[in-house]
Amino acid sequence: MNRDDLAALVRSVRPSDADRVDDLFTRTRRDELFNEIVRTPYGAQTVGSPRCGRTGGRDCARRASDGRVPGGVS
Amino acid sequence: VKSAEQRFEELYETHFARVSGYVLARTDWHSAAEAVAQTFEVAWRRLPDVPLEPLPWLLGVARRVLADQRRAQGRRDALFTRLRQTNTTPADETDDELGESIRAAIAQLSPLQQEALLLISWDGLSEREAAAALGCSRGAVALRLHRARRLLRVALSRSSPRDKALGQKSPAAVPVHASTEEHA
Repeated sequence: MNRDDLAALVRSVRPSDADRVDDLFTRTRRDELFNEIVRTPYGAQTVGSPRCGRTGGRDCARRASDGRVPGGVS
Repeated sequence: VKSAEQRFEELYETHFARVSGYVLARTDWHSAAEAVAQTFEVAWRRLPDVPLEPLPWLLGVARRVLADQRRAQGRRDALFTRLRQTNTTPADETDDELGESIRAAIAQLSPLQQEALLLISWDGLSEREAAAALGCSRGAVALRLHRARRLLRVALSRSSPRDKALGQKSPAAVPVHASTEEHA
């Protein structure tokens, strides 16, 4: 089996509904999400960002624990 | 000069579908909606850090968001569960059996091998882009891909009716997880 055949086989098991993005986020919901995001503070440090790691941080840990930002970046 | 909001809007509109597709292929719909939102929230907060080629960076963030979700929910097998839910409609029983063989073979790969393979096969990234998404070197991705493909060939040659029909020779009887295999 050559590489192309193998790639085609792997592609064939990608969940077919993964392309139904418009079902997950309607245009309206997508726009709402955009507006929600840009209302939050721009440039705030999040856990996992390099600068956050250097400064150490209780603030980072607190933000991670509040559940609003994804922390614990692996 | 574009404002931060303009730059973010361009990023959001350009890459929303790709990021959503990446997430949707790997988790359930409820978790996917949350993960997409979190990914773009991180992108907004870290906009100055977003590279000129943003897609691999965004998929890297999405990957970490999904990993955090799995940890929080105590689930380790989200991808395999998602693979089981795939909505493919096999043309016949042979295809269905082959699909099962492929899913089982992918499930046997290490998480990093899976991710390298799927970023390229499912998400259309190049090795260089996959390396950026995974935060490793291109060589490391190439090695993981090489091993993943080798293990898939071994697994499929043992179980795939199509391969048998094509007369594929089964490699020597070595364990699918060879002793040199990475499990990082």
